[in-house]
Amino acid sequence: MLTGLTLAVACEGREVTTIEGLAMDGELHPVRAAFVEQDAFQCGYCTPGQIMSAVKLLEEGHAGDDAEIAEWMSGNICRCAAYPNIRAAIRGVRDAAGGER
Amino acid sequence: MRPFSYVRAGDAGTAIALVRARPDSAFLAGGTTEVDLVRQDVLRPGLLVDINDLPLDLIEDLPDGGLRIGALARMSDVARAPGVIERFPVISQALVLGASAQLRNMASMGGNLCQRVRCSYFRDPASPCNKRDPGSGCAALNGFHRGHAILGTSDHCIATHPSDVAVPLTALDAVVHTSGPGGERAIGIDDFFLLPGDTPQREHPLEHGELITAIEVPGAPVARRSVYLKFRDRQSYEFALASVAAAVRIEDGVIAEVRLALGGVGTRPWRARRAEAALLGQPAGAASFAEAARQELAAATPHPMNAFKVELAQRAIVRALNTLTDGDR
Repeated sequence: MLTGLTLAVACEGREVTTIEGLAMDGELHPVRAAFVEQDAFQCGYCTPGQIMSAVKLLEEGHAGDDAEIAEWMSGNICRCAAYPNIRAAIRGVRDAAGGER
Repeated sequence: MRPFSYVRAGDAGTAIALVRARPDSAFLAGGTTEVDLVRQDVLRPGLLVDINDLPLDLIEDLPDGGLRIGALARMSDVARAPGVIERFPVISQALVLGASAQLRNMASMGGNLCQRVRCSYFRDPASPCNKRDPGSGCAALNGFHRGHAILGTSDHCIATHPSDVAVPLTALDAVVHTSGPGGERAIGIDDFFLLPGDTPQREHPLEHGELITAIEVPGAPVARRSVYLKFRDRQSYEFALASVAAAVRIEDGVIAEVRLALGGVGTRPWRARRAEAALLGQPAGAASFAEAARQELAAATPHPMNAFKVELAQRAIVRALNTLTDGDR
């Protein structure tokens, strides 16, 4: 979901996962680690949204190739245009997961 | 953003009564257009009635081969429903080509039909706009109107209807089911989307407090061979400059049945009835496709910046029909 289009009051009683909620026992989530490794950001403004979308994209199996990644990530705009690095980070996590998909 | 009240309704009767009770109230479903417009001060509700808890999200296959899509079914769920993909690929394709993944997860089907136009003057409270402020004028007529409509326009409004999925729904004679103060009714999609005329503020015939409950698509074997093509300034996450929903059945090299509707060019999702009539009984081929497209767009009323759409829409029609009939020729 998109925070800019979601009324906080409409989330009452519901579970919401934020970027902070992705951390696992103090360790970076693999997608977050891949963003650091691939330098997949510049100013960082869009990064939480990019990572949240990337996590679900990988979970839902839409990371088949670069074209599919680009299509399913198109709702997250990066004014610094870090797109090649963002795709590289997503590919990295996808490939590290191996045959699990 | 102005203060407003919010309440979550547990059943349809309560939701309808709550909205009915106040002239400044509105239903809130996915909110992907509505919340935006509230934040931009274009909509100024006193009360939003959240209907997301209502059990209106089923996607059902009907005995006649049709579909019944609950008004609160999300765009993403409809796009991946097996019955939609198999029997109505044009609906699934139109959904997947619309908005972004996140928006499709949030946006409801009923809300999609009720979404407001993307005209930048409608969305700017400082500009004249007959849709937002009846009688104030239309800034788009002599303004920046590259994305605006060339079919169904009036001297009062030339805003394009923005929905993708409404285009195949129009081609397939969908029916909008509602529940309201006057009971339940079914509205054919041709009667649901109103031309702007001299009342552009009125976009559909719903009464205040009337709730869309479902969208029904009648069984249509022709739709098994159907396609949605969308042409836009960038490849994803963008509204159509022109789009086509097409379904066709060929018998002995001749067009025996055809459904055709256009998006991105009309003030409402545009059923291309002239083109359909011109195609019936004709051989499936470039000449008959181009002639049908020409006849449909003969009624176009372009403005200086969007005149390119007249040619674009014709080419889109020809491309869609070529795509569908390639194997028959």
